[in-house]
Amino acid sequence: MNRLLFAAFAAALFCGALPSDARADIDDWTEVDLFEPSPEFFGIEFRVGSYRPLDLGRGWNSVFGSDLGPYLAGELHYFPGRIPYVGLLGIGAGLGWSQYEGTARATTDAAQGETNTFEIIPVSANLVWRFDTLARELSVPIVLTPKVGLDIVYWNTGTSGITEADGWSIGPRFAGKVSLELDFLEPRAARQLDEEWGVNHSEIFFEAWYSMAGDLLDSQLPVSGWGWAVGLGFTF
Amino acid sequence: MHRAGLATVALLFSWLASLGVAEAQNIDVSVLALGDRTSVNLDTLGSTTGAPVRTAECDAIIRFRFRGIDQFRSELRFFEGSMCDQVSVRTDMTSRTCNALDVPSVAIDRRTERDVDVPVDLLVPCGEGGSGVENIWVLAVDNETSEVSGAGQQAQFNIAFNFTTPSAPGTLTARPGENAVTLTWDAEGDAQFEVFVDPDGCTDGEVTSEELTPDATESTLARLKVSGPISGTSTTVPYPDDVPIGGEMAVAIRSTSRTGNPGELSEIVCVERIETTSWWEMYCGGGGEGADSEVCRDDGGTCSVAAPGRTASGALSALLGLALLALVLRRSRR
Repeated sequence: MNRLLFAAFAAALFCGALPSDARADIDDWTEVDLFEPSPEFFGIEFRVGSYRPLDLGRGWNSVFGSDLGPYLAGELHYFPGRIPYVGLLGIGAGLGWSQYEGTARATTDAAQGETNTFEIIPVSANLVWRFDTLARELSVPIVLTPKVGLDIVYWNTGTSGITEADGWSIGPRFAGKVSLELDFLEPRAARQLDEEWGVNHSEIFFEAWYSMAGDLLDSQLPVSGWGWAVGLGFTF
Repeated sequence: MHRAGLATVALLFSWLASLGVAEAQNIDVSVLALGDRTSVNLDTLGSTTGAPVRTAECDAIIRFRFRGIDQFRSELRFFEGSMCDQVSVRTDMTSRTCNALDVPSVAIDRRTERDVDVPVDLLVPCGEGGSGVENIWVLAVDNETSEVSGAGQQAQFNIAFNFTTPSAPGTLTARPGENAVTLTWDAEGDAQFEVFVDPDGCTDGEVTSEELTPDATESTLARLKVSGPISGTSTTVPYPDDVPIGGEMAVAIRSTSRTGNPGELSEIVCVERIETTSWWEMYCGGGGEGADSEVCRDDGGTCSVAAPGRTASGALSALLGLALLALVLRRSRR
């Protein structure tokens, strides 16, 4: 009987010695529920930057060379799954636009001329590897995202609003993106964004890419070149 | 018995009220037509910020429809001002609070509905410039001292006018080209602009146009107009087909107010049509990097479908729409 009493007393002492947050206290309104992030399936990016075709001849540089665009684009990613310590693997589609303006020089007087434009609308399909292990495992808010895919570029050129030529150019596309996740700036807001809207992470990023659109086929205009962009992205 | 009598009187009044006799109903007025306007709303016509009468409409006729006229009155008379429904104000020739308009009176002829055509310049002060609102009264009267407190005896409405003219645009500069000329000019305020071209208006750099002149008539300018009204201070105007490379044409612009009042014509300038070399011509021309390529032989490979412009906004919107759809789907899964 004494043993039984001692066991009950010991059990009561043990429970009393437990940390307070390990006990359910319905009167403690400050108690925070355990946060479980929602799964990530999608990513979206809004970006602005510049793209410069490299193989359009000396004339392109003399007419449009001083115009940086700008290049405006958006990308949507779908991540069907996550591989532990590797990150998210998925596919993506992007759409961009840039227009360059210059002056078509007069043949008699170089000081005069009319507006000459060159416009590109690239559509891209990519394989995307979102390597976010640093952020998830080591709390370093850096995410690396290599991409490889296909660029399908519609282009047109004209003077004073009258189209001279237009066409499509297709080629591989290689890109690398470095992102800084912004969750660490305001963790509570980041968590609320996930709870309310399912937005897991927001980030700013820099991306550089090389497009080989038009390089592989002689029947296409070689609009291949280097581009860069900065922007804002979300995964959700 | 006394109660029964009161009830009978009350019923009689309610019956009269249902017939519209016991309470005074104003004459209902609407505008059927005004100049070349396709539709006219009296509310917007009565507001200076709506669609006021403009200078070009001073020669127009405005057609009113009056309904619910007291058919036992003899004629409709037009007044402007305030308190015109009061005989003492109407007949007071010194205060000028209410003034009879020069619109001829309209015989009612025992009808409750009349359509009346009135010259616009009899209702608003055309030729005086400026802007404002005229408070118009239309009264069904037998004579000058008729009271108009009964049903179908008066209509009151506003007609706004705006005759202000915008200032002439500043220095007009023309940058010639092969396909089009780019015009730029200085301007103040929120005026819009029209562009006029006379293909035969210049000789050896001198303006010789007999049509495109500072005192050109509206019908002539309507024939020479190639663009407008446009906003901003620059535009691109294609050369007419009958201006060859090396040829000239006369160009001028004119500012118009938001309500459509034209300002003065700008200076008239001569523009030559010059030959230019575009990037595409450099690329595909002799010595160009793409001269021998297939893409140059068929102008890109795609039929030209449209002028280059900032056309990707729709596609970007579609992408954004997809993203929003994905977000909504994500939310619904949670």
